[in-house]
Amino acid sequence: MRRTLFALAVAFAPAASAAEPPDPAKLAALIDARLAAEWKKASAKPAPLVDDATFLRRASLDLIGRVPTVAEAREFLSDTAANKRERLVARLCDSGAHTRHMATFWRRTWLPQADAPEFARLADDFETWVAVRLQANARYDRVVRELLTAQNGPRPRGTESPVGFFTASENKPDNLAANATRAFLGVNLDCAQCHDHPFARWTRDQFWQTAAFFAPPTKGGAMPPELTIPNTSKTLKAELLDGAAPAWPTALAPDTGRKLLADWLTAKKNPYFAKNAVNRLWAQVYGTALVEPLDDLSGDSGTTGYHAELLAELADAFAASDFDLNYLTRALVLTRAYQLSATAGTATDPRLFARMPVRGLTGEQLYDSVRTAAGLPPERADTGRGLGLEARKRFAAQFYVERPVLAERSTTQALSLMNGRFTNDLADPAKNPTLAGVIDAPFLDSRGKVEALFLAVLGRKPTERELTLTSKHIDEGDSAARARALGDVFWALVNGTEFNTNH
Amino acid sequence: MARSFRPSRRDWLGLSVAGAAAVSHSGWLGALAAEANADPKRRKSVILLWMNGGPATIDLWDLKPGHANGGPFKEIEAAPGLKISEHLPKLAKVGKELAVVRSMATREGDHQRARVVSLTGYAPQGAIQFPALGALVAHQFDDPKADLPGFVSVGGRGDLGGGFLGPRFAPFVVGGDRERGAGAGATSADLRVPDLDPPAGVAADAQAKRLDLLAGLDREFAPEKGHAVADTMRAATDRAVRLMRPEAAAAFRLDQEKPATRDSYGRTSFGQGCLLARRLVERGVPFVEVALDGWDTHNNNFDRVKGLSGTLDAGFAALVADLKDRGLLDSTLIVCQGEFGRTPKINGQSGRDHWPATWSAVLAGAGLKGGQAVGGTSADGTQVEGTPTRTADLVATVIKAIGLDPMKQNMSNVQRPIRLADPAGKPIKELL
Repeated sequence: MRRTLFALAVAFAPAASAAEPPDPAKLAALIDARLAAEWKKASAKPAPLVDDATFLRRASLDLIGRVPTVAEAREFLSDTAANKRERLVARLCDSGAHTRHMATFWRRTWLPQADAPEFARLADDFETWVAVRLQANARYDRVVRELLTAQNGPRPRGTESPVGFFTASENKPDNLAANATRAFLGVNLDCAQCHDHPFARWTRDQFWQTAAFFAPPTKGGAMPPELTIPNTSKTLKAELLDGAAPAWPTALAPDTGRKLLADWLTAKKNPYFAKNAVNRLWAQVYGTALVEPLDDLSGDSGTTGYHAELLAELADAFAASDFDLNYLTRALVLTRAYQLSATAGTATDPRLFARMPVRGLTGEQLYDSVRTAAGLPPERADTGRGLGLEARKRFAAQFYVERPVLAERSTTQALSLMNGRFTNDLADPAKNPTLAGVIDAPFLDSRGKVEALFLAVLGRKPTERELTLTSKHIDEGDSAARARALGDVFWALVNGTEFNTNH
Repeated sequence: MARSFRPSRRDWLGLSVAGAAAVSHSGWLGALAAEANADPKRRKSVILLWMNGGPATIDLWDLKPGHANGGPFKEIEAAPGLKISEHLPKLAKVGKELAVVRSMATREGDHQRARVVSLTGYAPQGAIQFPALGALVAHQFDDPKADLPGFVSVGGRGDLGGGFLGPRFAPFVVGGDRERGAGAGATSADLRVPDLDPPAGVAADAQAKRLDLLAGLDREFAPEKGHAVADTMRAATDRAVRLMRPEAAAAFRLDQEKPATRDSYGRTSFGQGCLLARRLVERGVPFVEVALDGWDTHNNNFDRVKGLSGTLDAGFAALVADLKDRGLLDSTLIVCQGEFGRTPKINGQSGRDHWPATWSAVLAGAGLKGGQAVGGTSADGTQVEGTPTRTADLVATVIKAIGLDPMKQNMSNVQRPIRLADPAGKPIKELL
């Protein structure tokens, strides 16, 4: 794994464009206006805005995949600038940690198979490739185009490639068609693979016509690719889903079909491409997507359903920005809606977005957050033998979450967090710099020590009741017992619901 | 979800001490087992004996002695009209409980695909995340108050989980190696539950203090109602704490069994897994899977099958006899199967290759008609004679046998209702 990549915190160079770069704040204001109109229609009262500590924790988890450090928390809480939330968003979005976090997100969206043991080996290469492309501020359409036209063949050592996408589909045109349309268009063609589904708009012929783009040309390269539907005598040429005629060149290469499909798929005028990206990123930030399910944008909910109009507006803005992910991400987190409380306010229809949901943490978020809370770097330095990274991967697989807003926890996971080595090692000050610092701090009394632990783990100060509860626990026995008791507080906080959720 | 987990410190300390001194048979368990037997409405349970790799059922349940495809094994009588391999003598003694379905004919010949289809009852379809049968049964028989998980997998991979029913119904994996690539079937007979005990260096009273603190602090984080994710976190912690309580954890303590009992099951991971399955079923766990790996006998089939037969024979036969002795066989369905069978034709390495077209599955208990063979195969073993039994039929049979309706629907992750069993499946009428 090429670690240096993630260690770089490269600031994005502004695009050298003559036109004014699009303003994310403007798009955020549009989102707020649209949502406010819906709240009014539904007579829904939005939840109150969150305090600074909650905002910092939420934005850090969403944008860099971990809780804030004590230093980050102290700095943000003491900052008195009026625009500090906007500045925080900008800083987080420009960080290397954001690149890494989003690389995992896009990998999970495009290559979900790598979360299953069978294809887990593909995750690193693919994710590193996405990270390198995001780090270079490559536009979203370009990244997808490169992915779909990747060359599978020998490549220099130490270079990364997205060919895992093809491997996970066993290089079969039919699998590739189903996976590519779901990942990049939010369109579910699978059911049309075997038969014309009575309720779906796609036919079996269209499925196999799409699949044919992934097949090599026929007649020794003289004719565009075609495929025969299995167990039938029906042979179909590659045709685009919207019926447009692909512009076949006279000289056909083995990957001409893929290139033509990628051209059509990533074009600004493709009806689903931009919408799919916006919808998935929205779900990443707000838990629920604007249009659910995520892979049925061609269905009724995607075309005429609730929020279909807002999705189209945002997709247009994203396409107009030349598919600038940084612009879109910032717009989504700069809204007032993003600052609404998850814990206060009354439950409303989640589709109103009048309150933020409580989400589970992904395995990666949980791992990095526990380490951050313990004062350890989330990215381990001891990766020479692959040890640190392997531990993170194992943990992330064990705590795998497909959709944070629907996260569930199993008994096995809870047992592991309570009694497993990872968390229990961290109850030992020798392995937990946060704890060691708190125990040894001569200038802190019991309250001060508890306060420091809360800040490190939960990113906020304890309440009076929490102070009473924990002080009682840590004020018993000799100094060794008190030190152990502080380890217990750390253990309890890390096992609690508050730490294990994004709220 | 009520915040029920308030591990009272007194309970914890008291129970820890009791646990250390080993819970006696006569107490809690005795009462529970007696109650289980007496209750005619007792929910049924399933024990799936999973023969990983695809067993040569032609050398176990449907021999072809005298034919070139038959191999060297002889037949012995298990029941009138039912003969099985000579290397399964203990099972032959309980043969009147066994129903051998010799008409299995399925389509998948690839290990993973066949495994997925066998264990979920459905061929993969697009994005639908089909749950394993164990998860379906655990979900149907879900008891939120139960201390033990509803679906336990012993020595298996546990990779087929809750699917669209969620991780709450994913298998609780015991024994085996959770690391990837270890395959099914632990080699050690020491079946431990990972992370069930407090970590080394944390005494029971210290653990109790921690849980006290956790319960207290967690009460302070109180989002308004309607936050499913927060509820599932609390519920999982709650279940984990209940499972840690010694009387619940005792279910997994095989050292509470008499040495002679443990010997009768065979001191293998599989044998002890069968014993653990009995202990779990006794305590109301709806679904237990016990894996026995090593059946992928492309070469040296006969020596290997003979060895595996000994392991299978001891564990399976002891399980049947023990359940019967305890009055639990009528409420427990045992299913013994792999992902497919093996070629009737013997290959050049004295092996048999993958063969889904004809194979046998064995069922016992749950009031099914035992002591019979259902269907049969041609003299050379390559064709099912009469109506073939498909995966969907077998799954429908299992679901029906435990008193559930195979046509019952669950909502899937793609918002399409999915029936417990593929509606193409018909329960095997000779058994019910």
